[in-house]
Amino acid sequence: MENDEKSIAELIDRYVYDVTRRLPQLQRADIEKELRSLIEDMLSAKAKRDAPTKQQLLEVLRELGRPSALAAQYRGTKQYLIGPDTFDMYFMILKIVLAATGFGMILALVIGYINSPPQNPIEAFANFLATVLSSLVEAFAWVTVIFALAERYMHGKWKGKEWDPLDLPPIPHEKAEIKRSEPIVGIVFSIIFLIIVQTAPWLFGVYSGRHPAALVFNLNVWNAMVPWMDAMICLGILKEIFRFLSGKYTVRLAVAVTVIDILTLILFIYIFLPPAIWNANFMTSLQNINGLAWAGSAEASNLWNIVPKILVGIAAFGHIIDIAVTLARAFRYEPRHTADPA
Amino acid sequence: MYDIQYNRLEVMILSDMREIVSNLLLELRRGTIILCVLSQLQTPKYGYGLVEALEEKGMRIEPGTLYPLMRRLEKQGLLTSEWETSGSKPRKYYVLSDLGRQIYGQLCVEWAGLEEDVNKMIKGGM
Repeated sequence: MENDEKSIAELIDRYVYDVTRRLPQLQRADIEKELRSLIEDMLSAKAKRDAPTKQQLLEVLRELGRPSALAAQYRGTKQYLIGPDTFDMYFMILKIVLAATGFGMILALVIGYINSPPQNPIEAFANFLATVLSSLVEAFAWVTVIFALAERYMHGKWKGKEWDPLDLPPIPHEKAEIKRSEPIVGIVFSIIFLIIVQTAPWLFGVYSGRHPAALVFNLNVWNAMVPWMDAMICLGILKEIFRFLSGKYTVRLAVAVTVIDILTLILFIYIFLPPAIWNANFMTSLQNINGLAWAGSAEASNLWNIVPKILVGIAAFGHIIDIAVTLARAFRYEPRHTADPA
Repeated sequence: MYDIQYNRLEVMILSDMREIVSNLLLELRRGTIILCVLSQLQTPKYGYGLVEALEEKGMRIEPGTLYPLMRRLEKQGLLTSEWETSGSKPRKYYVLSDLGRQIYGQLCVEWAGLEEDVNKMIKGGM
């Protein structure tokens, strides 16, 4: 039938086009000619003396297979975005770049917040997350594009240096590991804290309804102390960065942590021990709230005077524990070295 | 009741086995494709003609694999090709080149040695 012939011819055209369009310009004409003659041969083998039917053509094309697969066979090489040879290197470099970008961005934003404190803490935090995330995505895109280009034009023909058994890293003790999530959580909380410190010290207090009845801190002194608090929080972030990068407890990490903890503690004492930062009127303000007459007593006053010392005591205790734990774990679990300098 | 369960287990193992055997056989066949193709191209053949020749001799190979293979072998220099326009349809004929004949000869020798080694391993056991 005339219709059958036309639709057969068109189907062959479609198939041949879909195969050859995936092939380099030079080979296209010859492969097209060859493929057409092959399809014809296969078709007449099925149809024998009769005119070929569309059904038979469908069988032939199904036998030849998906155009992309056939084109891949003609091409002779497999196509990868990033080939198996280079993938390991790509992944390693990707991790490094992402970590560097992430921490760089965090640092930059932190410094930015210190210099010009944001108005709205929630907005600031949301903005912070968005910026860090988008910079990570960008870094990922750049690394991937570069490796994809290398794969395209060099077919993954580059190799790193030869592997040497002596390069094998020592086995880490299972308890020596620092889970990657811990420092990240620590940094996130530090950032939140930083933003609060800059913008909302009035959050610390007793509220009746929406109005602050008694504020814990003297806001003027607080604002004066803000740079020192920033320094303290930054040290904390630095410590978490070290812990993240190290990945496990080592003596080197323990030393760094000890130094940072001592500095942090000193700052903490400097900021919070002097009575000036604490709102002297806290107890009297509290007294004005219904049902808190006790706040006016001498007992309450004394209590309020002791609070800073208690707080410093707790902080000191906490830091010492941290130092002790880190040192202990480092010395107990530091992986042994295999290389013998003899 | 236990009979039925036992038979089901038997059938499962049997069909698994069949699949494993057919996969391994596929690998074996793949290894010998090029040698068989070269053997048939000592006389000129066109694409589909080669498919038929191989099938007659017990090797079933997909046209989608064979046609590109012939082009690749030509690119490597083992085959030469010519468009035959005398008949009703133009056809591309492939045949072994001089280099192809030499290499084919060497491969045959290697194949004989390979066959001997493998047979030794099979018959000699461990």
